[in-house]
Amino acid sequence: MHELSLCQSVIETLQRESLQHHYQRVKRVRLEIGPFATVDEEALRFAFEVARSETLAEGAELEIIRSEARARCRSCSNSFAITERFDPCPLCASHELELLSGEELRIVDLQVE
Amino acid sequence: MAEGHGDHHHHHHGEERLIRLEQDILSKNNEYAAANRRWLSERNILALNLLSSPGSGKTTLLTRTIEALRGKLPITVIEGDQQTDNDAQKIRQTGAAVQQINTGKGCHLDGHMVGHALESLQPPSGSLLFIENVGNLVCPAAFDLGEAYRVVILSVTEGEDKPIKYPDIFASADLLLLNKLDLLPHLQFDVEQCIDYARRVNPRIKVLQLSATSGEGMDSWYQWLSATRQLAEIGQ
Ligand SMILES: Nc1nc2c(ncn2[C@@H]2O[C@H](COP(=O)(O)OP(=O)(O)OP(=O)(O)O)[C@@H](O)[C@H]2O)c(=O)[nH]1
Ligand SMILES: [Mg+2]
Ligand SMILES: [Zn+2]
Repeated sequence: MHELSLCQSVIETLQRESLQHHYQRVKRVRLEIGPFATVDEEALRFAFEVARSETLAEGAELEIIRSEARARCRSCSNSFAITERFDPCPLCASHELELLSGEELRIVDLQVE
Repeated sequence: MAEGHGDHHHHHHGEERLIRLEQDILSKNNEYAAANRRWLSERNILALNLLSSPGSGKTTLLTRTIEALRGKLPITVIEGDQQTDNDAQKIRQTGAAVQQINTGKGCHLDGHMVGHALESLQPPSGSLLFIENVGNLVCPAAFDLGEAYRVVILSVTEGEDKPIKYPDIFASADLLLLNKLDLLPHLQFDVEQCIDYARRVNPRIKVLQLSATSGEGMDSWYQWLSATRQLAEIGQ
């Protein structure tokens, strides 16, 4: 359940940014989560509800964008989408892959007032 | 669109707008980790982050390693546990300096906690620092502590499919220690299959097989430590 500490750092970021961007309330937060970000979406949603209470994001909606994981094969240079870390290259079956994306754990944007 | 400073005069209370942040959620942790890494490298300290599920043998490996390397290499330890300082006491009995971190409900160490532990522990220059993470094969993977290398310990009693069931932690590790080798005769554990799974998830992972209780295979671990330290020194 490190999802709670992730959500707490999201809230801390919202608080920090409110000083710079001058807003009082956050209505919606959009996060981008890669399939290999070590995050369980359900746990994250639950943790967000806990973390947002009695903060400037009280009641804020959480929107999650699931990004796609892509890899490049070191053997044949093919690049492709993968669903598991242990997927082989679909062309040459090699596991010598370089991960291009899939570990994203980002705050994309905020709807504020 | 992103908004800069000085635009607040235009925003009245209740006016909704979109702010583009594009910020890594772990950026704060990564800043703490980077500060730790700088602090450690200035003092030529080699830090290793030890990760495993509960009971794989992290503390047993550490006490044996400290005893074997006594007089050869100064070693200090940061112990992460949710509760108790049992492990810290075991380390202290070997004579090594140790700093306990109790995470309470927290399931992992983070860069901030380790920064504070470094301040109290004050590991000596040129030493080896082991950070025993909270026993957990999932959550600690996401949190950089400022370590030079990640060592994941898997004991043969846990089943050979763990690298593909918990791929994130194996993908981020530099070294896999396959522990409790002495128990192999009593189990159906396919060592080759396990290593193959680990390499599918992480083609660059190095694997050593050992038993922290019988001592079998421990020499290759000590050799890895000494080679890694020499590499770190050359890198200075
Ligand atoms: N047979 C055998 N038992 C071992 C070996 N290494 C550790 N153990 C036993 O496994 C149990 C757990 O070992 P610990 O060293 O406490 O494991 P740990 O990973 O530090 O556990 P946590 O800190 O609770 O996550 C103890 O009873 C150890 O004696 C080994 O190589 N062989
Ligand atoms: Mg332990
Ligand atoms: Zn290929």
